[in-house]
Amino acid sequence: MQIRQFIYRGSRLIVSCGVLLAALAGLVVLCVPASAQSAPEAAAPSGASANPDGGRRGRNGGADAGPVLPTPRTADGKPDLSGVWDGGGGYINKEIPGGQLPYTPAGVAAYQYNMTQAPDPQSVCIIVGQPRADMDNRPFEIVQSPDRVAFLYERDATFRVIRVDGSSHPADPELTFFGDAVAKWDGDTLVVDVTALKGDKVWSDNVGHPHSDQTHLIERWSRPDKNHLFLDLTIEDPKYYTKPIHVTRTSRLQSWPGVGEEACDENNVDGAHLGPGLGTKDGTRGFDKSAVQRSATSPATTNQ
Amino acid sequence: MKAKLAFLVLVVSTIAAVPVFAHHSFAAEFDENKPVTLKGPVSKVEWENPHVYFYIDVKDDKGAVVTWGFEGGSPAQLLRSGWTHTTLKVGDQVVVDGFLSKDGAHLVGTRSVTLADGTKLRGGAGAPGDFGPSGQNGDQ
Repeated sequence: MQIRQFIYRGSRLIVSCGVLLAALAGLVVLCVPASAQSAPEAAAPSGASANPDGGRRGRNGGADAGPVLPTPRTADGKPDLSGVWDGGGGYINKEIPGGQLPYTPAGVAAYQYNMTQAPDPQSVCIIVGQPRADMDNRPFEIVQSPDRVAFLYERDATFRVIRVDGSSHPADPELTFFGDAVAKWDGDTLVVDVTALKGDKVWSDNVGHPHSDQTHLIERWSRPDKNHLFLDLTIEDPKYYTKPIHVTRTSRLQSWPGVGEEACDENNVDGAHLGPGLGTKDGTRGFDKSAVQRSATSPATTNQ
Repeated sequence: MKAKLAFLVLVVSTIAAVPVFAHHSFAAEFDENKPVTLKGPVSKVEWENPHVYFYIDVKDDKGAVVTWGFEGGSPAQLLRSGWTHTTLKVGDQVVVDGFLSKDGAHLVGTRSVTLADGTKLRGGAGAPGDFGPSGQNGDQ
């Protein structure tokens, strides 16, 4: 059995202030959270992890164990990407040596804004859209038919539908969180082209990297064997990044009956209390100290 | 242009480290260096999104009762870890392992819950070493 392990080592949040004196321009004082946590010590291929405490139950469904099974195919001979998949997860710079994204000045400003001026949009129940859904660690399901492929995301009960019918992007599109997605097959790879993404109140991944409304995604999805789904993602965003960003993710087939349901606003006690960015300035992520007291005044059980 | 470049180089170099955890991270709220084990009867259960909370009345060493709150994963995540919505009932005697909240509140990020019959379940708060139901350590 193959075992891959992620080992995280926590470290304290470091806020570093860089004082910049430009010779010709004015001076700018920047306080940027330089790092929230160290990168994984042993970075495995994207999404790979195994729980030595018995994560096979539910977590991998045994996807990494046993023989390699052939890729299921649809009646027209294409790989069938349908299935309930684990998130895998990641962040858009995880395959860049040193992690430095090729920001433009506008990209730097956008990242600083995400870290210092506004909370994570997902934490206040704004749907994450793309490419963040591609980088998430929550399960998703793919339901594939010949000309429409649906992604059903557990995260905040969201979805998108990709057109595989030869249609193009609209000429004057509405910008949305998940964008406009059209695809065609390139051999055994479904190549999905996404445009018309919003650029405000969006993160590209769960650690706050920005993307603009000029973002263009090329997602190459394949299913190399029954138990694995592979994403090869290219992010082009000339407004925030000087060159395309490339990142991959592997998801594993699960035996769960489906994704769970999430209702972000149901009891979002943190939402009103969050700090900006990764939210760790004073150690409070939002659970109000008085919330323990509220337990005495509200019903003993909820949703039981 | 040179000033702009210098600006960019300096700023980018301060963002060189790769942050791994998001706002929802365990580390944003709980201290992995402060593990705690508490036990007592369950007084309340909030089986809701985005996090399940439950409360235990814990007797301190002077016999005074203090209500502690425990945060877990979402219902969907806990279901994948063997919970159901009725796993915890008011009055159940449980033992909870987790990590203390950074801000001193009586709040714990739950690593595991042991029921009276010995069943041990993951709490799903995303503590290090607690590969939560979605698998990715430390990230919810």
